[in-house]
Amino acid sequence: MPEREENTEVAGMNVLNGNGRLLEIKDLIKYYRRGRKLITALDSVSLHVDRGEAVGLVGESGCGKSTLARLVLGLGPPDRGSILFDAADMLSLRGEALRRKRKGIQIVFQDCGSVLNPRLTVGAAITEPIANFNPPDSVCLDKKLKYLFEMVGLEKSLADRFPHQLSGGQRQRVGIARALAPEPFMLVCDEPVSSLDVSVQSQIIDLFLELKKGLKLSYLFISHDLAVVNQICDRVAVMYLGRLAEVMPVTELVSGAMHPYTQALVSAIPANNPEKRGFPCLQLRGEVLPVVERRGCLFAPRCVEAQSCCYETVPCLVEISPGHSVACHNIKEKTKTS
Amino acid sequence: MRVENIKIDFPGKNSTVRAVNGVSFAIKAGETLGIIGESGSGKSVTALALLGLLEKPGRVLEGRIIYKGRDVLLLSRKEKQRLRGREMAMVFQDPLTSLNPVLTVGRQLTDVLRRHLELNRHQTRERALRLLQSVGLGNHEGIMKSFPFQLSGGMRQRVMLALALGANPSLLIADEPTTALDVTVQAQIIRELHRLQQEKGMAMLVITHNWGVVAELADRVGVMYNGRLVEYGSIVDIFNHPAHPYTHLILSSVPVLGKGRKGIINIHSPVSRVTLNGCSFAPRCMLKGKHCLKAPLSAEISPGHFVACHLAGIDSAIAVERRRELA
Repeated sequence: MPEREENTEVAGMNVLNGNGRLLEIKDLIKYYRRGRKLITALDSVSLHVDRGEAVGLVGESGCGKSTLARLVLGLGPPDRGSILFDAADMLSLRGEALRRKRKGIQIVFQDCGSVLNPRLTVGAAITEPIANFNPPDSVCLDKKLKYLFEMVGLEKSLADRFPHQLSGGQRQRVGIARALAPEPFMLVCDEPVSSLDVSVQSQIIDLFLELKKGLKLSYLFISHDLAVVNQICDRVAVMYLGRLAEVMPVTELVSGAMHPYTQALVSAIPANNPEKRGFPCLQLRGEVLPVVERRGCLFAPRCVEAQSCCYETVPCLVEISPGHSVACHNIKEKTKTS
Repeated sequence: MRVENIKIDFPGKNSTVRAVNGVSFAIKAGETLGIIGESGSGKSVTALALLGLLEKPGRVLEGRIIYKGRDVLLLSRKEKQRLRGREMAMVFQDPLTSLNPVLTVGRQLTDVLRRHLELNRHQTRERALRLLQSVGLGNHEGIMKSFPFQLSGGMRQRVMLALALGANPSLLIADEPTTALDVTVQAQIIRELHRLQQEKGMAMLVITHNWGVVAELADRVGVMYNGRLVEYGSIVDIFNHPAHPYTHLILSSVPVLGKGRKGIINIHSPVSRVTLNGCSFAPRCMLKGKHCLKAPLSAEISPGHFVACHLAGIDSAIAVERRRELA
């Protein structure tokens, strides 16, 4: 625990200097009310994204990935915690100042078909956010639109089309162009490629990589597909039922995953080769269980290594090597003995 | 089950869409055939046609679907009903929309069993419980009493599986059985399918766009593009020696954990079918030439490995010429 606090202090200084950290989320808690019950969607989540860095957020459905994205974008207040973006406290900003700041962080949704207004041409859909932040000037708008279309690899002639006249991949490109229109520093991508066919998916992945390199964009990339995260991201954060289970460099994902949940996720990926079929090391019991009591490690009921202490106390994220933190009691045991 | 050269049309107001254009394949007892393709390539329509479930205005234009020596297309409605469930059964992609939301799981399961098997009330219940157990669901009594919305996605898919297996079919058709599920649940369902097939010796037709599912389950693979079966062969052939440019393209686009993709990506997106002539993949193909204006016929390039491409097969004269042009 003390180790983590030290880290965040250093982080805070980075933000003050205006370089390094772009987004800093600290101890974020979010409850949703359902009747009389409180449902914990996020439970003390701390995460940061540096400038030009892509952080992947993975986990099963219902683990709070999308909730985190919503809070980061300011689409709802958290119950506790802080969000610093570009050295500003997003939760205390109000009015015009907040609007200006929000310009720097935009979202790409999973299904752009349902996000785009069916009655607006895609050109109009893309120019709307530009005009929103700049004084309207039709010549300038047109130039900007052309630039954006070029950037995402769309033909300019498509600008007069309506969303239903485009293919899924083209719509996704429009969604990206629209998110890029206000010139953000950071894109939050919520499952941006999961509804696409593989051949189109790989084109969109390439586009994300190009943009990252060309515009020095940062990403918070939400996906349940580890292989996709592996291609785009520098670091991965694994979430389980509202808590972070493990945060690590993407290079360690395959062989260096320490948390039993991360290991299970990795082993659950189907083989890419018929000779390696059979999920050799899938170690996971059952499915995500509804949480009756948020006590101890929430993964314990499904964990093959669970001990009695796992049901009692909450494991906290401990850094085991630079940039690699794990929240698991057994890991602590292992590092202590070694 | 043998499918011979079926063509399926969907007549529209102004034009007719040819959803399936001459697809042939065979599934032997106890074998798994995987059919893979992009959305809109005609995979699901083919599956529906096999069961005789194709809805109007779709119709099978020509071809034969031979199941155990009988042509499914020529059967009467009654005969088709007898075939479905008892002989062939289907698992659909989205269990929430395929299950009846206002009936309990138990009611739906016993309905199916009583429709197909002559059992009394007690025996039906017994069998329903056994089925739920066989697809890996615990707490059978509780699940019998619950409604579909009370179950998780993975549990619903298992219930669908139990429904399909109810009357011991000899062919199970699974249309995107794991698409809506998390990877962990997907892995469990794939295991379940594999185990059940081994136990019951059923034939299986798995339709998917996920190479992982195919790699895990299939013995043989058919690759569909724009209503045509462009490549068809054993799983080892397809994965290790893909011969059609489209198979190459999609295999190389699959992201692999720890390795990244293998590389070649073309920039074109799938085009909606405009022509019925010529190779339908030609507009996206990097190797296309003047021959591709003519529709390629499926040729056997090695035993059991069929490819519909002018350039497939090393000794084809066209391929040699085309390679020289490109080089």
